[in-house]
Amino acid sequence: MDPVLLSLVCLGAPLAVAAFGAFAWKRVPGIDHLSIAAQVVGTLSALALAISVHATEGCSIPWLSFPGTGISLALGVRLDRLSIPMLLVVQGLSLGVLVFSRWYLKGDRFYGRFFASFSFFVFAMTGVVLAPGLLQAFICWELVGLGSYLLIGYWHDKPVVSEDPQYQADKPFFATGVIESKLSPSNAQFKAFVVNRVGDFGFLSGLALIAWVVSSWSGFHGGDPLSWDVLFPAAGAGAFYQASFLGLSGPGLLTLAGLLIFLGAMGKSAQFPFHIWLPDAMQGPTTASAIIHAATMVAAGVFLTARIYPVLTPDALTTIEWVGAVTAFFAATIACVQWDYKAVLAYSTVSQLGYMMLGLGAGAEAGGYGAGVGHLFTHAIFKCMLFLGAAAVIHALHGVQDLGRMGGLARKMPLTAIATGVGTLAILGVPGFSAFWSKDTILAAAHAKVFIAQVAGTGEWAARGPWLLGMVTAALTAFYMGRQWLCAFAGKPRDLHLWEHAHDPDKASIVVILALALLSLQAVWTGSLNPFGSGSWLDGVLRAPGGGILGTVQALPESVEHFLHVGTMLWALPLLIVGFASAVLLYVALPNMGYRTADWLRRDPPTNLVWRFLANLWFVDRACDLIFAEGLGRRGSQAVASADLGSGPSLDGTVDGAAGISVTFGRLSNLLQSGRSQFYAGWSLLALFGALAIFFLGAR
Amino acid sequence: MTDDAILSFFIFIPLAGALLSWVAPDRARIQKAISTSSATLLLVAATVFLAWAISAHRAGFLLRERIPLDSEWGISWHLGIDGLSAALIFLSALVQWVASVASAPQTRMRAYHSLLQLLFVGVYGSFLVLDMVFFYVFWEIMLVPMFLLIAIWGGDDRKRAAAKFFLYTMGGSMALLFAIFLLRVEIPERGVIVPVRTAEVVEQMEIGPRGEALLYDLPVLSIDSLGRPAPAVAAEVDAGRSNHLVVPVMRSFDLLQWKLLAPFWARQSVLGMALAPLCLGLFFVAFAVKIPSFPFHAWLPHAHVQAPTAISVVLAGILLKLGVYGLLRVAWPLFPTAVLANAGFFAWIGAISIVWGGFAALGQKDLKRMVAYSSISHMGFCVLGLASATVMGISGAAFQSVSHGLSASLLFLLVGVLYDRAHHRRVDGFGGLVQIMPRFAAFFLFSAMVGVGLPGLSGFVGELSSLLGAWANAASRVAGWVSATGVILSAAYLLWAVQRILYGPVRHPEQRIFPDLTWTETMTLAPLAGLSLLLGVWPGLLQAALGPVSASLASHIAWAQGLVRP
Repeated sequence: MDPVLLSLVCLGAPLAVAAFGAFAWKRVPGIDHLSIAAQVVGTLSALALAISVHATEGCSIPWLSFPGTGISLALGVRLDRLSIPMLLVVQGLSLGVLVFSRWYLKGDRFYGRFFASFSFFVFAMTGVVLAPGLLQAFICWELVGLGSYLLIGYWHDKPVVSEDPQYQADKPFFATGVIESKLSPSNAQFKAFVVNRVGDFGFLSGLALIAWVVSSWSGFHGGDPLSWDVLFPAAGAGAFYQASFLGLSGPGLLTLAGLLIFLGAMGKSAQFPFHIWLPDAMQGPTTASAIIHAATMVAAGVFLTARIYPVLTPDALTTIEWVGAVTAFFAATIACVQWDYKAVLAYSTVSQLGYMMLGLGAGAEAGGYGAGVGHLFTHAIFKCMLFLGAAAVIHALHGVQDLGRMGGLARKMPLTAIATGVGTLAILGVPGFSAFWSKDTILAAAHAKVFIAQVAGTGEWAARGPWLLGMVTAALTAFYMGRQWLCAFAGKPRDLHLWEHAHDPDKASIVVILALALLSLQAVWTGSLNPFGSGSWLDGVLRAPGGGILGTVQALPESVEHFLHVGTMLWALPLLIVGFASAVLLYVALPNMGYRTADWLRRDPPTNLVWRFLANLWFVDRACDLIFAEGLGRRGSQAVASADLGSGPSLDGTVDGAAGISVTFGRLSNLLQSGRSQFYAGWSLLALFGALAIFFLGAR
Repeated sequence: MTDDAILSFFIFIPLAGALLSWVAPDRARIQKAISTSSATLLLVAATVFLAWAISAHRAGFLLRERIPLDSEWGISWHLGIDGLSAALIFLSALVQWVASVASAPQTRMRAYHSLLQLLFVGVYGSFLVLDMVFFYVFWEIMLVPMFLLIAIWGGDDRKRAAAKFFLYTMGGSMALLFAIFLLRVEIPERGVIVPVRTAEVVEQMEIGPRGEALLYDLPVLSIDSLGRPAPAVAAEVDAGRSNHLVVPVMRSFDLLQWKLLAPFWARQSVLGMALAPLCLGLFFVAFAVKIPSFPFHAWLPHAHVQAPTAISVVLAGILLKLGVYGLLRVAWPLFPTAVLANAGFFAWIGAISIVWGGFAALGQKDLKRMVAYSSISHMGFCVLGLASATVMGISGAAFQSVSHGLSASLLFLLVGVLYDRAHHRRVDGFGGLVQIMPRFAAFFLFSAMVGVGLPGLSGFVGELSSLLGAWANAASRVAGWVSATGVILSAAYLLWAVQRILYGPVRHPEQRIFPDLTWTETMTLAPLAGLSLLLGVWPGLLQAALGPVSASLASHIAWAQGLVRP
């Protein structure tokens, strides 16, 4: 079958379900089956594409043309070695999550709406993946935002958690950090949309900048300046040297363009400080979080960054690397002290997304592209599974998410415990599991960048910083993920009542998470247990794209690469063991000491300052709330509103006064208030004709 | 010059309707029937014209009619329709239809419906007329009915609001009148011979009885190598063999002939001041009041809050568009060099409107006032796009006009629905309405998303085009960048309102008895929403009508700039 047609099936099937569901989800009981059917079709199509397509294929149709300029913005599909695997991931994971959701949401009051919104999200996400240019990427990017908006606000009738008795009863006494009066599904969906929009402001500006530069370039001969096929060659041929903006030209301007687009990616991929929406987004159903806030949507930013790789300058990449490293480290520290099962996963997602950006930022020569993209895929699968595991746990415990009340669940839900354990080992980067390969590649790439900087004699510490942060994060990851799994599944049950009723999910759902666990094994990805062995089926996917300003990428010599990988492993494994061992020590071997340590950390100075700093999320959320939501948003807008049309001195009053309007105005309203509106109408007509008469006399 | 008076019907149908309403009995059903049927008739005609414009896909006028009335002053009854006016006429007819259906005046229905239709006489007239005297007349005709509709059928503080509306717009009209007068007296008695853009002649040419080329009813002269003018033959112009063309322009009020004078205006001065910037400024004030642009916008929130729902719809849906239309049709073609010289200024006016309006909207407690400020913010994109004087910017401004006509109408109708149920409009006075009025909630979220500029809905296309245009011109680039913050602000104020009104638990149990949308309400909302979706998914449809006109204007501006400041 024609590959383009197959890809259109992947787009169209979920869209059809969503359109149908938008009107009929209440009346049509089978929407869940319908959406699963659509996803089966989509997954099979994606699979067929993955098997059959080896070259780049695609199509585009003009969407908006501007006559006389040659600019004709287009939509379409593009199938290549980046989009096809991503398409398969999106479609396949969606199928799994939908099957799981049937069990998870059974009997929920908005059951049908979930499947309709979810299908819409899949459509939009597929659109981003298949985008043949920046425009469609942006369009579907925003639609993905709408899908996320609808799913986060799925339980829209819930109050804020400070008024939610269930939440207040379930949370531990020391819970802090969350702004409780502003946390509810409807607040979270709003926050997610607006924070993303801040990033999209950058995306849109970058898009407009690129459209301007490329379409005014002397080599532009009509077409879509935003399509990859036009944009990359133009950037490579020096289009950015022909334009200047704010004193920037050439590489400087290209850096600006790249970073503006990256701002959009920061919003979607929850990079510091835009990460604030992601933990709140956990207000949505856990299965929605599995696909949106773990596997695919938040990875869209990483995907986009990988997409525009050919136009990212070294300066832009260094910025990206730093943003990623800071995000990875920052989120990992917070995850260490979270008490909420889902919150740990949320911050771990932020941290892992930071890793991906760190990898991409290392640059193509250092192998960063393959590292970032590889981790994108492996993470999508094990994190999706971890979230589904979280859904199973939360469902089994009737909504309780407090790690302090779990424990010993492995005996009650063994299959979930196994799958989640595999996911945990994977995210830790234990040899034999997928992230051992992909995370070590990232760290190796960051290390390689240090060497490259040393050889080139430029900014060694600018490269060393992200690498060190990445290393430390590896240890932190081992600690907090180990802590989470051990607290939930190992040891003795801490809440017998909850524990007794816990159970594994139904068969279909278990099949889904076990299948995903299987995909988290390293052998699936590298084809062998040797992480450095070449010949894996992913090799083609992970080769950095040529073109643009990259030209042909010179990979490091194999011996150097081997040295880097082994070196990284020798560094990372001990760190991992230290992290995991401390988790075991504190939460299994010496649980009392663990709680006493935690108490001591929380209670006494000076360590309670550290705890408070971390538990309050580095005060970033509060600062953002204070500065943007309360300050700029509420106070600022009220100030503008009253400056515009206030009772005191305002713009309105000034214009009135300056124009003498208020004087005339008083007389007019007196006339009106005396009820003589007819008189007034006559007056105005008279004025009109008078003006006309004066006009004509004057003309003569 | 055509003698068939098809276009005049757009003016005479509502006029006849107004008279009929005036003499018909003062009964709601009869009055509504008259009003709605007149609007339906116009909507059908406008749809035909829009379809024609889309399929013709050209910059020239589809139809023009011209009846000279006074040769001494050069006044004529001159109407014309091209892609731009066809699109706006269609929007007007749609809004008129919606307003007629949604109108429910409690008193004096006769006067209400009569005035409503009289208002549209002015609207259609302004969109069609190509003679500046009549343009001014129609401009004023809109003013009085709107004033009375607010002042008589408005809310508690209606008189203040109406007076404010009247004074602001009257001030704008004064500027308009003065500029028209100034321009008219500047044309020398013997007329002027001006060079014309060949492409414009090709686009707009009509063929006279002897095969000669006519441009806007004026003979086109071809200058040979010795500088001797001779009447140009249409066939030669068409084949591109006459390359240096001039047109003799006489004294008149004809807008199209004034456009030909663009190079002439650029060199004139009056009382020691350059004429073009002065008149451009006057026109800008006149039209900016209508748009309304910062700092002439303060009448709008007053007027909207006090006006009845249907009148708010007309005000936001159509009347604001006349400001953009005036800039597009009058100010920009007449003074291209002055526009380019002040592009930065205009772009910043647009950017400030967007940001200021957005912040002011965010700070409102009254839902209707919030929507009013959102109009100021959204219409700022029109000014921004126009300021760039690029094809993207100009077509973006036109597209945004149509799109905002749809989204603002939707939002005002929905605010009207809420007010009808709750008798208040405080954003904080609702909560969880999605549980009570699901159909209303769906429309409200949809309309908010149109306003937010979500891709796939029409709001995105106008904003995107305007921003692309603003970035393409060095003078408006930074302003364009600042304007892009509008996408954050619009999401903030609209979705915040959505969140507080639709979501969360039901905070006011007495609101549980609110009925969902009635059929009449759904009937008015559905076409607007459907059209927003259609234009968002398939913007090429409307762009086929707007694009060529925008491209023609952009190249007119570039051409004049090259001519005057080589």
